[in-house]
Amino acid sequence: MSEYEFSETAYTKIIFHAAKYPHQAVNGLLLAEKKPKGSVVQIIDAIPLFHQCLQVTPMAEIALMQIDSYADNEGLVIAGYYAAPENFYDNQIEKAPAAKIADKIQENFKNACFAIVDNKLVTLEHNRSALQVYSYSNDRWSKAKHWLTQSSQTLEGVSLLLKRGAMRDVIDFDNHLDNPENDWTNQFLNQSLKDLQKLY
Amino acid sequence: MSLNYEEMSWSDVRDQFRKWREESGRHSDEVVQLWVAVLEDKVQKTGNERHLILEQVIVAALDTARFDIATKCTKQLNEEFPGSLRVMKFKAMRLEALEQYDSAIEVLDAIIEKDETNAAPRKRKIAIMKARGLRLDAIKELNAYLKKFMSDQEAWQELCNLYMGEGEYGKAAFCMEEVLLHNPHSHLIHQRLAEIRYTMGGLENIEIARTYYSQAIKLNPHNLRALYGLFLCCSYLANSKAVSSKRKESQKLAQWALEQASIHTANHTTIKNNEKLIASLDSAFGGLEIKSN
Amino acid sequence: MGSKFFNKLLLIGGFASLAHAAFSAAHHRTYLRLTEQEWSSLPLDIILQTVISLMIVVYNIIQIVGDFKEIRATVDMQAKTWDTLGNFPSFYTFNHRGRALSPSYKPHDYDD
Repeated sequence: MSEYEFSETAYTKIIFHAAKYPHQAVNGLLLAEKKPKGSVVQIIDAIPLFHQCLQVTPMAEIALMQIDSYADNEGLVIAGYYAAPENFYDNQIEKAPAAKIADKIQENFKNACFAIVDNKLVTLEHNRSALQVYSYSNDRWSKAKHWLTQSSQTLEGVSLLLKRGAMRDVIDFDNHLDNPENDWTNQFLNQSLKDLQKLY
Repeated sequence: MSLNYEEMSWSDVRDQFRKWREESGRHSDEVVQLWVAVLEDKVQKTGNERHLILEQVIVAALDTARFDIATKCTKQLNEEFPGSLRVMKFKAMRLEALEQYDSAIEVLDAIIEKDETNAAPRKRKIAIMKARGLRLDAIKELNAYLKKFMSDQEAWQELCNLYMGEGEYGKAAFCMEEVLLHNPHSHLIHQRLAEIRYTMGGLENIEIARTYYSQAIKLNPHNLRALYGLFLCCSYLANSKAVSSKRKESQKLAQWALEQASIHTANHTTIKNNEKLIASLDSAFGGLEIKSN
Repeated sequence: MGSKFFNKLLLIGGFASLAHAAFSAAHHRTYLRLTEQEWSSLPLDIILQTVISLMIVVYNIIQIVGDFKEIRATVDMQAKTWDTLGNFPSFYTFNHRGRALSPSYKPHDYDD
C-alpha cells in the first residue's frame, strides 16, 4: 500500500483547474520523482489535461506521449491521474471520467495513484484537502492515505487565490490545442504560493 | 483573460455581455461579478437590450449559486411581463438550482401544457434528469424529444455527449453525423466525429477517422487536434496489416502531419524543448494506446 | 478613430458636392431655356463632378458603416473552439462545483 504526498504546486494546479471549469468534468496527470524515497510517493507537479470532452482518446494519447517525454526531461515520471466529475455529488471512483488513462499509467508505474476531486470540498474556505486518493492493489483501486506538504499554508493560500480569481489563468492541454501560445506546463504556477499572492 | 472591473464603463460591460451572448460562452462568475460591480445600477440605460441582459444574469447567478441576484432579476422581469412563460421557465430553473426538482418539473409541465410547441421547458426537463445523475432516463427522454423536434442541433449534440458518457460510441457517432449534416463546413464537427471513430478503434473505424481528420484539416489547416489525430491514424495504419503500398503512403502522411503540427506550434510556444516533445511522439507511438477495445 | 472622422468629413463633402452638381445641372437647363438654345447634353465638368462625388460618397460610406464579413464560410468557423460550440444554454445544469465555489456556500457535514 503506497502513501502519497502532494506538493503545493501540484495541489494548486489541480484545484485551479477544477475551479476554472466549475461546470465541466476535468482531468489531468500527476508527476512524481523518478526514484521514490521510501514508501511515500512524492507528487511534485500536475499537468491539467482536458475539460472539453474527456471520453475521446486521440488527444489523450498525444498528451500522454508529450508529457511522458517532458517528465523525462525534468527527471520526473507520470505517477498518477486526477479527475473531477461533472456532477456535484459524484465522488466515487466508478463515476470518474476516462478512468482508462489511470489504468494505463498504472501499467507503466506500479505505485500510481488515482485522485478524485471531491466537488463538495472545492470551496473558497478550504480547510481540508479536496482530494480522495486511491492506489492500485489486488487488481482494483482502493483508498490510500495522502497529505499535503505544509497543509494549512497550502489550503489557506489556495483559498485566497481562488477568491482573487487566479484560477482563470491556469492552462490545460485543451487550451494548448486550441491555441499553441498557451503553455500547459503552467510555469508561472511553479513558484511558491506566497510569491503568487503578490501577483494577484 | 482577466478583466479589470474598476476600469470598465457600463457600455464596455454591455458590449462584453453581448459578445458572450453571441458566441455563447459560459462565463458565469465573470458575468455575476461585472453585474454587481458595474451594470446593476446602470441597466436602465441599455434600453431594449435590458431584458436579454437580465436573462443572462439570471442564468449566470443560478450557475454560481447566487440566488439573491437571480431572485431580484426574475422579479424585475416578472413585473414587466406578468404571466410570461419565458419568465416562468426561469422560476423553474431557480427551483432546479435549489435542488427542488419535483416542483421544478411541475412548473415546467404547466408551461408545456399551455404551449405544446415550446421546446425550452422540454429541454429543461432533460437537464434536470442529467443533474440528478439519471443519464439513461435523460437519453430516453431526449430520444423522444428528437422525434418531435428533429432539426434541433443542440439536442443532437447533447445526445452525443450523453451517449459518450455511457460509452456508446457508435450511437454517439450517429448523433454527430446528424449535426454534421447541418454544419458541413465546421472543422470542429469533423474533428469530433474523427475522435469518436478513433476511440472506437479497429482498422475500419480508424480509416474513417483519417478521412474526417483530413477534411477537418482541409477546412482549417491550423487545427492542431486534427493534425495530431491524422498522425495517430496514419501511424496506426502504417503498422497495420494493410497492403504495403498503403502502409507506405500512411507513413508519409503521418510524417507530414507531425511536421505541420511542429511548425504550427514552434512559432508560438513558450514551452521548453517543445520540438523534442513533439518528436518524441514519433518514437513513442504504440506504447500508450488507450482505445476502447 | 482618426481615420473614421476623416471619412465622415469626406462623406459630408461628397454629398455637398453631389448636391452642388445637381444644382448646377438644373441651373444649366434654366440658362439654356432663357437663351433659347437646343438641349443637347450636360457640360463635361458637371458630369465629372457628379461621377467623382458619387464615388467619394460610396467609398466613404463603406468605410464608415463597418467591417466586411468574410465570404468564405469556413473562415468564420476557424476561430471557433469547442468551448463555445459545445456550450448549450438550454441544457445547462446547475448541479456542479460552482455551487461549492459560491461565497455563500455552507459545507454540509458528511462522511467520506
